Amino acid sequence: MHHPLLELRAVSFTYGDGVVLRDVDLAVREGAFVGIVGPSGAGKSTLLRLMEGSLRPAAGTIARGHEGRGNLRLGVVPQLEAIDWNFPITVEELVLLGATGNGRRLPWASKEMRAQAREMLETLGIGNLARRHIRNLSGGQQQRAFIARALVRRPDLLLLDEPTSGVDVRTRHDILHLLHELNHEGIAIVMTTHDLNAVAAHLPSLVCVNGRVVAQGTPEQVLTPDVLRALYGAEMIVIRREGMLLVGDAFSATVDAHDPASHAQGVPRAHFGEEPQPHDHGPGEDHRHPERPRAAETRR
Amino acid sequence: MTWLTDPLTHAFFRYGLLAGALGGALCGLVGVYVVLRKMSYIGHGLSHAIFGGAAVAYVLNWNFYLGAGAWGVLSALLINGVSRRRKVGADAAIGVVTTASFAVGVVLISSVHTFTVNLEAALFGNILGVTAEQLWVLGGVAMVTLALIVLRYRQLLFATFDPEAADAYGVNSRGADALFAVIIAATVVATMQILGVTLIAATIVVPAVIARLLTDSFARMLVISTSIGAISGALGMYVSYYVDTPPGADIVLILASVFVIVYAATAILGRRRLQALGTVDTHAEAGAAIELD
Repeated sequence: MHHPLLELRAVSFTYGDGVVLRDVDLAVREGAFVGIVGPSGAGKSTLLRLMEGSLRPAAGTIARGHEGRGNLRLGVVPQLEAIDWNFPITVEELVLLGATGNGRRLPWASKEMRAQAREMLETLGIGNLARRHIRNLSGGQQQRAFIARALVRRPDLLLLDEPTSGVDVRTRHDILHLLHELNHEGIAIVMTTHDLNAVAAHLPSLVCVNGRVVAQGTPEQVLTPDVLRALYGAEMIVIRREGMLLVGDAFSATVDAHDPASHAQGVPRAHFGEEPQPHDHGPGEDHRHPERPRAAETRR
Repeated sequence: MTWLTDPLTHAFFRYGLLAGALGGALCGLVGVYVVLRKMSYIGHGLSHAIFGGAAVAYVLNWNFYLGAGAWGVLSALLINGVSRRRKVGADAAIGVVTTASFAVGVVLISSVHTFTVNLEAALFGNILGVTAEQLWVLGGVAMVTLALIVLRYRQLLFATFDPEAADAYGVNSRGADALFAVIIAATVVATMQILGVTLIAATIVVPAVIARLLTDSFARMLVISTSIGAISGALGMYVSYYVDTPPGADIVLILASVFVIVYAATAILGRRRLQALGTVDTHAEAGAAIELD
C-alpha cells in the first residue's frame, strides 16, 4: 500500500477578500504522477505553492510525510515565466542551489557536490552546458536545468508548475518522457498544466481544479464532457480512439456522423488531426457553429 | 613610485585610504544583493532614513551608532515587511519608509540649530577627518558582513534569485530577507559619516552594476564588485590628494567613469561577437538566446 506523502484536508486559501481555493481534500501518495488541470486563474499554481509550503492555508491542514519516514524532501520546479533570466547564475551554480539544505557552511561547493551536479546534468542530457548562463539555453534545457536543481536533493516529491508551457511539441514530449522516467525511479510527481491532451496521454492521475477540486481520478474517469463543462464553463468533446483520449473544444471540432472509428462524448463524433475534407461543410455554412460539421483541430 | 608613498606620510591620508578602500569594498559586496533584488534605491533611501535616526540620537544625546544603527535596522526591516505585501513593491516601500524617517530628522534639526555642522558631514561625508572609532566600526561591520555572507552564501543567493521556491529547499527566506535588511542598514550606518548620505547610493549600486556587465556568474560578481569598490575607494583618495577635490565625489566619479568604459567596451565586444557568429549561433540549440554582453 502506498502511503500518502502529502495530504491536504479541507484546505482553503484567500488572497485578500478573494477566495482562490475552497475545501480542497487531496492526497499525493508514494509513486504518484498527478496532473493538476484547470482554466487560468483556477488556483492551480496556488495549490502547488500550498503543497510546497511557500503559502499557508487560510483554513484546513496540510500534512507532509508519514510515520517512520523523515521529513518530506520536496523538489520544486517553478514556472519559467517567473524566473529573472538576467540574474547572474550559471547552470552549475543553479543546480548546486538544490543542495542548499545539506548543512554545508562554506560558500563553495565540495568536490562531491560538484560531481553530483555534473552527473545530474549529464543524466538529463545537458552536461555540456554547465558553464553557460541560464538565459543562453533553450526552453527545454532551462526546464531540465531546474529539474536538475530539484533532483540533486533526492526529492520524494517533485512539484512542477507548468513544465510544458512555452515549449515546442518535441520538447514537451521530451519533458514528459523524462518525468515518466523519474516517476518510474520512485519519485512522486505533481505538475500543473493547461495541456489536457498531453496529460491524458501521459499521466495516470488527474485533479481538475477551478476554485475547488471539481474531479479527481484517472483521465478516463475525469475527462468527461460534464466535468470539463464544470471546469471550463464551455462545451468540450472527448474522443476515445485507438486507446487514446483526445479532448477538444466543441467550436473547433468537426462532427462526422459517418466515422465509426470515433466515439465522441458530448457531441456525436469528431475527427481530430485530419485535414478539412471538401464534404465536411458546404459553402455558406457557419464554420463556428458546434453542430455544423467541419474539420477538427488536433491538440496533440 | 613616490607619488604612491608620499601621501602615506600623513596620518589623515592613511586613515582616509583605509576608510575609502574598506567602505568601498563593503558597499561593493552588499551592493550585489541590492542590485539583484532590484532595490537600488535602498542605499539612497536608507541613508536618508538613518539621517532621521542620527538626529534623534543627537537630540537625546545618545551614541551616533546606537541611535542611527537602531533606526536603520528598524527602517530596513520595515521596508522588508511592507514590500512583502503583494500590492506594495519594494520601491514604493522604500519611498514611504525612508522619506517619513528623513522628515523626522528634518523636524528635529529645525528645533536644534547646533546640529548644522554635523549635518554637513552627514550629507557629504568627511573621509579626511575619519576617526579611529569610525574605522573600528567600519572594519567590524565589514568583517561581520563578510562572515555572514560567507556562512549564509547559498541561503542569501537562493532567497535573492528564487524566493518563491527557497522555503521548499530548506531556506528560511524570511530570515534571509531580515538578515539582508540588517546587513544593508549596518553598511549604511558604518559608511554614512565617511562617504555621506548623498554618495552612499553610488558606492553601493555602481560597482555591482559594473560587475554584472563583466560576468554571468554570481560568485564572480561578488568578487569583482567588492574589488571595484575597494580600488575605487583607494584611488579616489589619491585623486583627491593630488587634484584637491572632495574624496567622496572623486570616488563616485571614478566609479561612474569605470561604468562608462565597461558599458561601452562590453557593447562593442558583444556586437563583434554577434558579427563573428553571423546570423546563426552554431553552438546554441534552437531557441537559445545569443548572449551579447
